[in-house]
Amino acid sequence: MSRRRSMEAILQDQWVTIGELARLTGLRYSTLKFYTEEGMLPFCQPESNLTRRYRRVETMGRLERIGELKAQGLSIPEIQARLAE
Amino acid sequence: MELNHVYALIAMNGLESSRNSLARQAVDRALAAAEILSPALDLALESPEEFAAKVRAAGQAARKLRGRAARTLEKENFSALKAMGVMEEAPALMGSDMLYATSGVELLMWRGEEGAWRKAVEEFRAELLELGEPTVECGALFWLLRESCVLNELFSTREQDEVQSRVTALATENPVWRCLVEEEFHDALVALGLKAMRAKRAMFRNPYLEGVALFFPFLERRASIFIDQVVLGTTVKERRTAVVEYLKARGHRVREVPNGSETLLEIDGSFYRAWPTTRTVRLPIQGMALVPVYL
Repeated sequence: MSRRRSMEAILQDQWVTIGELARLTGLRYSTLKFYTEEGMLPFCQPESNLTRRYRRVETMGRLERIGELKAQGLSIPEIQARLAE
Repeated sequence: MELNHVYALIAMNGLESSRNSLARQAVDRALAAAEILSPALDLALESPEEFAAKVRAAGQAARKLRGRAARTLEKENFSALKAMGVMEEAPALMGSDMLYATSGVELLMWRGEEGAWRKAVEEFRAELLELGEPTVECGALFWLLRESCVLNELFSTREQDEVQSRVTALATENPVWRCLVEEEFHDALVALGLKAMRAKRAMFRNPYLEGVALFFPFLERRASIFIDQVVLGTTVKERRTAVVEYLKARGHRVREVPNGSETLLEIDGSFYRAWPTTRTVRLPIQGMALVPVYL
């Protein structure tokens, strides 16, 4: 068991969990999970029963890009296509 | 933010501060437990036995909590959250109902800052629903929210089953989770009352009974808000705009949310459909009824 990390500790680390991503971005867990399952957020998972970890800077950038594309009215498949470019 | 403040932000949000309710009593008990448990979280890593003793002490303090001490605890937590800029005292929606507004009754509630509340809730949800071992804070928060009957407001029915089986598995492997699962401090009568209220609310989520509540508002009074205004000869948009302006002037956070072919109103974080109707006192009074929408 571990303690919850402070915001300073999170911002110094390269990797974050999905819970920490929710704290950083204010996005819903279900939204982040959906993006992950749709392959829009790359993650690393050392073992199948361990927490998924995301590269903090890269993932935050992706989420910002997804937000911009959504604001432009693009659908999820269109956003996926844009992210894959 | 410390554990007791995270708990207070999640649980006090939306509670009426000017009225003593069952929900408020349940939250007060958990606030007392949170105050004891918050500085002792490191013990969970260093000595699970000592942590278990702290959990029992926290449970005992919660069970012993009485009126005046409860009010003091609420005030302390509210002041701390207000100083952080994440909670305020705002008018409760029920106070905007015609009967309450015209009788001069002021109803207040605690309202968490939307962003801070969402971040706290979503981090907790993610930790409990994701793979991997949750943190000590998550375990303690789960315990406080379960004992104050708030958990079912944060998880869907399917998620609650998932959380239940997850926590059972964690409790078999981990002594910290075990002591949190075993210790109880809720008041059985309060929990029963809250369960009955929830069952009633769930009943009126049925689309057929929504209409019944519209015509017989006393059946689900707190979800039957009536705002008097001239309806005859107005358009849907005009009526909605009038409701939005009225509620904003009374201090509510209101947003129009398009939902398919209709537009809903998000008022202080809950969704409503504005419905033109009349209330008959001695004469029929035209106005808009706000009917809760569960998305």
